[in-house]
Amino acid sequence: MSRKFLAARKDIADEFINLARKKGMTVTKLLNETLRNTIALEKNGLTLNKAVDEYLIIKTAQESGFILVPAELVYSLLDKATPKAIEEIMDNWRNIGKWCGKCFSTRFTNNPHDLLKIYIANIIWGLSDFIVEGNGESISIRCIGSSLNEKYTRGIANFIEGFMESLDYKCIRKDIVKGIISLKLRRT
Amino acid sequence: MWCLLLVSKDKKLIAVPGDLLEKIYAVSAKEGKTPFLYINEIFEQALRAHDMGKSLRQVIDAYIMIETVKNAGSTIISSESLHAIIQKIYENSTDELKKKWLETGGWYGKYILAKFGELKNPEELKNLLEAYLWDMNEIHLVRLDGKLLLRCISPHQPIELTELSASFLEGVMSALGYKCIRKDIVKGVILMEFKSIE
Repeated sequence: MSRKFLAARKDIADEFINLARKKGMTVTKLLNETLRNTIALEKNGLTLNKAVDEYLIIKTAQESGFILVPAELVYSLLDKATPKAIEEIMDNWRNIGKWCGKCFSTRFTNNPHDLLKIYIANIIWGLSDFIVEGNGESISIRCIGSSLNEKYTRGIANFIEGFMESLDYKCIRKDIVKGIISLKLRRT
Repeated sequence: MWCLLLVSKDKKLIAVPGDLLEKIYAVSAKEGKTPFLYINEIFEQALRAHDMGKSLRQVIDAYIMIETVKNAGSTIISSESLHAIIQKIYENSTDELKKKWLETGGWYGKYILAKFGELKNPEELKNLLEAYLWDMNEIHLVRLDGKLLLRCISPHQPIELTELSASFLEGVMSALGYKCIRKDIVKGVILMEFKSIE
């Protein structure tokens, strides 16, 4: 098999060599394994950066007490709740959003735009669009998820509002219908 | 055997098999990056994975599983929120909810079959269940005397969610060709025995 050479940054290459040593592998073996894994991922239309970034975000959510559930089970639970119970559930989601805001801004970044686009967008599933505009005095957030039911859409909106409250933003306008959320927020 | 050459104080040359290098060039060109930039990114991600206590292979496998469950119509929800919802309605709708969770479990069992084909051994199914059931601290699935024994432990789970999870699991196993012949469910603990329907 022919060998060729690839240039890499010295500091990163040195760290990679140390990693191979820690794993008890030769550098060539670890390098081959790493490159082949990356190429296999790319063949499936996925990028390594995205895979590692999203894994970290999901892992954080898991460690923060989030779990996976079939969406239709959540919808059917919400459909059975009384109006009074729904209001309590919505408050609960807002409070969870506040807590998440504190947790994520401590762990990752305190830039609201980045927190929303990079982190929150990856833990609210079922959305075809998650648009964030502005990043200072005012921010507008628009979400579209045509498969979401009405109560779940409200729940997500409450979660996002709570999240933004923890970052010192107050909602000044909102429009929520089944599958569509539009929020305008201003820094307090 | 490896070969690293110091080219400058900032760069090192690394020996790479020719076939891999061609692929790296192709992928980096597709992403609009130079091979130098791309290989540095790859190294950085491998190091990040290690900092998370995982190999890159493990991170990639976990990511693919995340995409799989996302595409199956799952959602991420705070366990506290889910517990709150269930506890408000469970008492008045127990049978209906158990039936719904059983049916949904059945769908997920079919999804597993469609996505991964026939599972060759209990370990494969256990790994899938572990990847999905985040709130379970322990999942054990073993074959014994022709039966499958499933044991799940989640100390913080309220009894209502434990019962619904058990219904979900029964649905999954039914779709995979197993009938539940015994179950023992208490708060946070599920013990179920299955035998093959065939």
